[in-house]
Amino acid sequence: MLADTLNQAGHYWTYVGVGYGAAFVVLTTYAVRTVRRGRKLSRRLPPDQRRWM
Amino acid sequence: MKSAPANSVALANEADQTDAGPGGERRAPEGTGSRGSRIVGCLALISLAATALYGLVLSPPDANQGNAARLLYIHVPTATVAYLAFGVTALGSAVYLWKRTEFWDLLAGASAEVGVVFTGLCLLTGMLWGRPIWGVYWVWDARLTTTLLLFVLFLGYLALRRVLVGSPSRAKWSAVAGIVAAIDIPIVHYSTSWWNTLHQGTTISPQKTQMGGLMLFTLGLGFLSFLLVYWWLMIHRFRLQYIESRLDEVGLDAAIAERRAEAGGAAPTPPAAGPELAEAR
Repeated sequence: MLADTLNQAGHYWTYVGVGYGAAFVVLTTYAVRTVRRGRKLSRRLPPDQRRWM
Repeated sequence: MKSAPANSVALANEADQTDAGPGGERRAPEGTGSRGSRIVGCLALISLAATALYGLVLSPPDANQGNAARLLYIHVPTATVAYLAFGVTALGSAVYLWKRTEFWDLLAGASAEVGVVFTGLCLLTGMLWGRPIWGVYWVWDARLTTTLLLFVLFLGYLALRRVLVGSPSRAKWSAVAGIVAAIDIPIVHYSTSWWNTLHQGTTISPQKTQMGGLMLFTLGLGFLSFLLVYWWLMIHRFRLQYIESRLDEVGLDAAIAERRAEAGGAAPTPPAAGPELAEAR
């Protein structure tokens, strides 16, 4: 109901906002998770093996 | 499985050159970042900010679709990057089956995961665009259905990689699955030509481009920024994949050593004899 009202007034800005927001949140969450996991797991490897091949 | 030669890993070796200590000696990197990845990350952030600025503020609303067309500046690039990511997975899988080097297996696995993220975003932004333009979030149209199938196929590919951890045949079967799943990519791409679909056909082609100046520029900016994001994510995901692979090996070696120690310390038992049979003897 609220979304319909907002969209009628703003010509679909709600959908646009949700789309851009979701892209930002998903990519940021995935990037942070990947970097954190890399930091955590690399500490478990001996330093001489952290050379990415 | 053979390891890749050190000079063949463009994604991988930046850390070696950049994480030098004050005296110039090499330090082991603490995570998956490096100077190269930080530069790519900064470029990706700048281009994403520019895409948001042009996509949300500077580009005009579409004459027919209004502001909903602004979603296409992220929907189309995410779809293209997903194709690219799964294409890299297929290439890595094929080369792995040919050369049997670990690098190609790790590259295929890393790219598939990043591709799944982009396909998920493509489906989500497409649904958000479809609701105001088509009146529904989802229709079982050929393009949407084949894209969903692509998403599910590569989820299955990632699940297969996890199930077969520690198995010597994991890389081989993953490579076969990666190639089979990638067959869906051309089907997705040509689905709008092969079938009657609600989804619109090609908007940009060398023969005819149906977009105006600033809108086309914004879409191009979207392509550039999501390509940079893909590149940055791939650097980190590939290195993480490498770390996970080394840890799997360490874990496997430790488990084998533990079993050997147990076998060496305990009195030998006939393998066919269960506890009841051993007691009866």
